[in-house]
Amino acid sequence: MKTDIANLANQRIAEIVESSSTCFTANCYQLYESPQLGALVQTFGDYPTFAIVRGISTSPLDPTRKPVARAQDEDSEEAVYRNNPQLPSLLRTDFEATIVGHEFDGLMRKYLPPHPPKIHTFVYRCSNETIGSFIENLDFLPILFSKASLVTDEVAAAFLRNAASIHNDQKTFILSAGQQLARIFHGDTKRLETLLRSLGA
Amino acid sequence: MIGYYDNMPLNLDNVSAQIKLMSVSLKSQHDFRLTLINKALESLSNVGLNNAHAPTTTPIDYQVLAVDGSHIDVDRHMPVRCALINLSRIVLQYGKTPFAMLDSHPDLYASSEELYIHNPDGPEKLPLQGPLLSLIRTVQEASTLAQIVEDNTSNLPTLALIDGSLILWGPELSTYPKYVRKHLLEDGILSALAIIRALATKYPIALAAYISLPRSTTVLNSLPISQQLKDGVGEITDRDMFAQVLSKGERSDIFESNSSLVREYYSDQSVHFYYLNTGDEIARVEVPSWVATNQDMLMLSHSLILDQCRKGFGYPVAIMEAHEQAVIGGSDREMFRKIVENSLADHQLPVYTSQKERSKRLRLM
Repeated sequence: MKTDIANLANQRIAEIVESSSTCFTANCYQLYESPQLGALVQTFGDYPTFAIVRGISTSPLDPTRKPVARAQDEDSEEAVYRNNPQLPSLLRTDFEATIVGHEFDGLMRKYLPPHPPKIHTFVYRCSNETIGSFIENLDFLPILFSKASLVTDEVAAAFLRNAASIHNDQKTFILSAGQQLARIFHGDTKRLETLLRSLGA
Repeated sequence: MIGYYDNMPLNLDNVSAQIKLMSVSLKSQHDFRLTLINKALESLSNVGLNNAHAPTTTPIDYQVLAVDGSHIDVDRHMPVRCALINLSRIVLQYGKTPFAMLDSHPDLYASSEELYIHNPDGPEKLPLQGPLLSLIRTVQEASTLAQIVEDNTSNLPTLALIDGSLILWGPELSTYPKYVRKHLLEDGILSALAIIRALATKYPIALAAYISLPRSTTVLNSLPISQQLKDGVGEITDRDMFAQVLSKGERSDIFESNSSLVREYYSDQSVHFYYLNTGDEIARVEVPSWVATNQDMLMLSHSLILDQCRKGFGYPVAIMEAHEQAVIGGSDREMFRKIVENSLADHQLPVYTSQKERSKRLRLM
């Protein structure tokens, strides 16, 4: 599997600011412009890594300065930003992502890389083609739903819905995912039902 | 047995009793203060300087430029003689194309050239530390403001805002040798202010300095009030007087600074000022003569400072952000020290500190 990084320049969205073997936190270049919950993102470098966005947050750059309500005399929420142009420079959007695989010897490996990505590693949105390759088989789902992954059922379901939306055969994909989930949660029908409902299965 | 409070470095019980006495004393002066303020207002009215001026409409599109600085002084307990000045630059544009630039730039002063002001005509030199370093920082702030005014010239109404005074203030200033005063004044702050003035002949720029909670008594002292009335009343400031004159948003008449420094050095950039009721406090706004005598620029400074205070919950946003960008907090100061020590160690240079400093840091029991 080979990726042309130059073509991905406009897919670059963030930089890693915290990193560990199982997950990383990335700081978005643009305020509020993070990939959506459940999106598949990737890094390059020594161990190109794939991860699923499991949480997005926007907070002050300086944690000791708390935002305060400003819109009492404004007509719209947009006016708050228009009349306080400094705000985007004082806020940051970050996302946390759980690592679900990496690339080694040109092959996609659905397990953790030997080393986590370095701090300041660039993070890219995955193309539909890459997502398509990633979901060719769903043998990574047990890892995704393990407690260690810190991915909630909501996020995992969001990932599967995103994946389904770009799949050529949406119905077959959902069916295949549903069968996998049934195997993972055979002793927990309540959880399985909730998951299948959120998949639209 | 020694009780908990007996062992505390500050006896708060004792302090509290003294604070109560202070409050009782102030309360007893209250009526005398009111009498003095009323007398002052009467005098102000007699000379026709008790007018209140309402603000004009704030332009929708405008920009405000501001700077601030913070520094780490030379510390004799550090292993090397050095100082740091961190200067912030703020550009805020309002209206159709909102925009913000907030940044800061640190400068290390370490070489002999940087750490001393040298007399160009002789061997004398004066070390940059303590009050002199503070003055240099103020000069650097003015130079940085001139730079961002130059970099952001446009036809937008522009407010160039300084936190504090246009007057380079320092009790030691008059004691410095002539070459130092020249470095700080003619070649320093006045040169920076002249750049802004020159740009203001081509673009709509109002320069102003904002002083929050001013303690100045310039106007009060110029009024014919008997010393007898002033005695025993405690501190009365211009602010107390103008709080009675100005309604929310209004500014006072224009007054001229009587500072001997301004008279001696500022010549055609003499400093004028007005008091402004921002709605949250009575602030003092200083403007150079070229703003004070230009009605449009004067009104611009008035309306834009008010708008900045409104947006900043009582204090100009641009100055607040300038401060936030410039400030060097306690942990940054400690980190600065560590980086210096590590760098010296990396280069096999001796790293030592005074035992006093070491003791303060370790606080061993």
